[in-house]
Amino acid sequence: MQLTRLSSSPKIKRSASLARIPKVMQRISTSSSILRSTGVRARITPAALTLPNTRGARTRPGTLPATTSSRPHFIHPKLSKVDKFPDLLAVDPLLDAPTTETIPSFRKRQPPGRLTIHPSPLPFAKHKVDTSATEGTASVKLPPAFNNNSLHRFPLVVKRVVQQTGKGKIPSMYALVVVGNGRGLVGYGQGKGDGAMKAVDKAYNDALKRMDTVDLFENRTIWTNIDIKLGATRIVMRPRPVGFGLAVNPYLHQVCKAAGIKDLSAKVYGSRNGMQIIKAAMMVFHGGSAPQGLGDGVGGKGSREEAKEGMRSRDVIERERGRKLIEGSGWL
Amino acid sequence: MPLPHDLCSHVQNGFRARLRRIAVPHTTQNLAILSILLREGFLSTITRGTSVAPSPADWHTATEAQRRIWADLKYRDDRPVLSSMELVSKPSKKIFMEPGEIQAICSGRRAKFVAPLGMGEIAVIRTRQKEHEWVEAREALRLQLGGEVVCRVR
Repeated sequence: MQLTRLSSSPKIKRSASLARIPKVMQRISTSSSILRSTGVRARITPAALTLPNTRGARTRPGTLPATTSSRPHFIHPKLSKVDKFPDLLAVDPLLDAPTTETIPSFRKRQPPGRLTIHPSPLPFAKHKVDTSATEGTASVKLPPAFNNNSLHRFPLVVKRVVQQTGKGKIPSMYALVVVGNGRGLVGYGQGKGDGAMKAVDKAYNDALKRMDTVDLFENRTIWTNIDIKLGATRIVMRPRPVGFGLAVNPYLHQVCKAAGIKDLSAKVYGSRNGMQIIKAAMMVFHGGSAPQGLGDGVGGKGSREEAKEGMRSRDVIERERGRKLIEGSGWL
Repeated sequence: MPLPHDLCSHVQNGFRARLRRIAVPHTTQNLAILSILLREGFLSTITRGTSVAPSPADWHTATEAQRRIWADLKYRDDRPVLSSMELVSKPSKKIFMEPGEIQAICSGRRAKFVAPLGMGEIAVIRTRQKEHEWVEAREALRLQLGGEVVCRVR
């Protein structure tokens, strides 16, 4: 084999002999000490690709066969090019997808029941905490439940703004970013900076601080028709059935996607200013849960963003009226 | 007979001003509409009384001009339970609906330029039947009655 010649050959010829060796072997460290100890067929392979050589081991007469041999061999030649195997401790979205079983009903003419089994995170799975903080920018630290990749992040408005002073114009970039987890949490933030990237980062951090829950019907659509007006922007939203999709203004589309609204129909009347559309939408989605911003003098003035009523869910209305919203609750 | 608009504005303004209770003139119309609001959960109590205070005993001895109906208003989580009470049928444009049209507005469809009832919204209907003169929209649907859609409450 060529490797034995490698140890003895001078430095100049080494590169030439390496070219003839297959790619797998080239990754192996060619330190001369290892080659001398293991001998002719020295193959240093990753531990994952080796198997204990229990069967067919050459044993000397009078000795027991060794449980682990110093001569490992490949599992499969194709797997030798795999650097690492998938982490089995983590739940894979494709391989560990929830399974659905249909259970036949005992009663006649009744539809079968459906059981969906969701894979639970394994008890010995490690919590991966992202401790790497970006230097220079004061970024908001998220809890482990939020990974940077799992949040929807849409910079919807990025524009150049100018501050006029006596000595000239001072330009800067403004950004409005909508952030959401796609499952009922959404918020928007605004930021300004010298460049677009800085402005977007500031807006992203601001949005993370201002995230709030959205009460949804069946986790997919709003509860009732909503009509909201903010300045010259008027939005009318209507809940829609399953599978309808989002038939809405492009700005509203991203806001709904971030919030986790899947079926909605909306129309924007009057001004279609992006900032106003997003703010009006947030007044609707957040207003139901937030307390009315009347301005009590202690916390300061009430803000315009908390002025309107907002959307409220069925159980909130039932609780405040003290009766169920079913037909006949008023007269039966 | 005063217009239903008086009652609508009185109730709505009372809620916006965060009043504990309001006193409206004692008429069959006001009594009927307030009792529908009570049944649907917008008010906590309605009592007969006088212009001075709610007191059923004093109501008996008082004159017609002094009689009032007192309604206790409801609030929860620093919010009023009733947010708006608007007229539907106005003197300038009266709106009368048949049972089919009432079904439409209860089912999320428009009828006679009247927007459908949203979640938690009720409509007060005045019918020609003496036994069920003032009813809620779903009640009218059940009894298969039509009539004038007086106001909508949210």
